Amino acid sequence: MAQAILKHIASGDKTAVQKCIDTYGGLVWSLALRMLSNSDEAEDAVQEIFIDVWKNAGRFDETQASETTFVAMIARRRLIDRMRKQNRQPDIGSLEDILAEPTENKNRNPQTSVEAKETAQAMKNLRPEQRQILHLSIVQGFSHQEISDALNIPLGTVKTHARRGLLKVRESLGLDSSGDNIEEATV
Amino acid sequence: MKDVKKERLFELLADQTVFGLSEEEAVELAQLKTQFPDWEKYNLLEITAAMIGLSDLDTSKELPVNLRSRILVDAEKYFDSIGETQNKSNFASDKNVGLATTANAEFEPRRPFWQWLGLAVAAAACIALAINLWLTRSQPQPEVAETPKTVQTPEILATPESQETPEIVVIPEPAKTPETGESNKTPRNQETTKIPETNRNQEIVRSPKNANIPEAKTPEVKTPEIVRIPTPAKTPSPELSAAQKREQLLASAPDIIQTNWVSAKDKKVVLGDVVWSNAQQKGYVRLRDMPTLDPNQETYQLWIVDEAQNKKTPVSGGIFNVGQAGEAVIPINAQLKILKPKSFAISKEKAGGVVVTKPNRIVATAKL
Repeated sequence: MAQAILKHIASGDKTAVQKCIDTYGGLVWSLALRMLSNSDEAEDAVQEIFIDVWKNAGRFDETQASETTFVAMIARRRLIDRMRKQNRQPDIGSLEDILAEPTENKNRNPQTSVEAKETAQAMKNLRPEQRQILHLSIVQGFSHQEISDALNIPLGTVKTHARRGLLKVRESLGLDSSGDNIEEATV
Repeated sequence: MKDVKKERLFELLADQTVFGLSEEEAVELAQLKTQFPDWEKYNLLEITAAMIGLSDLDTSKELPVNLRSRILVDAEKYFDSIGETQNKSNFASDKNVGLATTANAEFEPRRPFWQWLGLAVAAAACIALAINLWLTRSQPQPEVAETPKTVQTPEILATPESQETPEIVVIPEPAKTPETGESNKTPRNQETTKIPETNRNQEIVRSPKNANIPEAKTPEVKTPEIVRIPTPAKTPSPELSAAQKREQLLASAPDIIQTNWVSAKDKKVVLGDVVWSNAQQKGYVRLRDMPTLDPNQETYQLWIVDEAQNKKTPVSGGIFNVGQAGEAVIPINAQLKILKPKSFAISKEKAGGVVVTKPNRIVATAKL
């Protein structure tokens, strides 16, 4: 049922809700804690995210992504909205920290684990500045202006690094269904 | 030409995924999408971003039990609202069908009678209060203690058999007896409570997306319209100055902390102190002979470093300016709840304040 939870939910099957929370609760909670850094705020966000999941379950397309990624995508949208309202200041960290290899894979969900490994590998192939900016923007949720201020680099450069990095990761993950060389077309 | 437009399409799609778009960019993207109807097949950028977000995620954290219960309640409400055939009245008793079947033993959506009685009394009090406010709205009201959020919860105003409540009046801060307020306020970390946090449910009901979701536990209750009326003018007889409020806080808060400002290296000497009560989440900055800034150009901004935050992210305590030479007292307006304050800092920023400051903008710090 691992990949059919959202289909059941979309069809109005309430019994799939518990399975959904069991499967993705830890994932969503971890994402919320990482981006919001305040557990009260994170709890509110997680409730909102699951409501979004119920509402959007019918849009899940298994040919494009796994359920895990789909849930993470919904969570990310909601968390970014909330985080920007928090007026949070970036914890930039050192480039070395961001470049450091993960010491341990703490993903317990096998599906998440496989995807995380593939994505980590794709991230490793990026240039350091692309990786740093994608980390700050996607993982930590900071705006281009915040990153530009914090790293003291022009806004346009921040955007360029983010675009190139994102497209490169997409290609590495085989998500470029067009067959075009998007990176060349874009940057 | 087509390639240039296609490049721009990808740029905007990437920017939208990573940072979001301005209004102008969103319009531009919408136009480009019409020119490339198959743009979606090139996209998948949001999925890529989601996967990047998962790449080093530690998912070993367990969802808190109370939070899980609240999500189940939300789900019940959601599915009821979309016309599920589930018999809501069996929600608590039918352990084989409801969402909360095996959730956890603590989850118990039904309220005992005495709680309903209490809620009915609270509802009557709120309605009487609303009428009173209406009748006396032009008269000054005494300043009262902060009203707990739970007063806003529709459930509280609903009676068990609840006749259709015509209107719920949300009263942000008016008079409320302290004991009633405390008893209604369910602490977030109250693990043993059998009642799902009404506060959370209320927030979800209040959300426009869920405005029509009926209460899972009160199926007979029609979700009433929530009408927010402005806070009755807090008209304490006479309004205390910030300096007086600071003195009051110093005298009344047993956990008060006080520390002096220390000028940053190479900056003008800053004289004054900061006081803070963590229990009351209130504090004041006192400064003497601080240079006045041109408000169109610059502002001072206060920061609070909270040791309990996961990241070392100072919390903004608000922006301020000082009008003239002499002593200035400024209330601290923390953007987040401060759990374990470690130090305070004042920076000089561009007008309007910033979300990111830099070390060279700090003019003073106060460490605990």
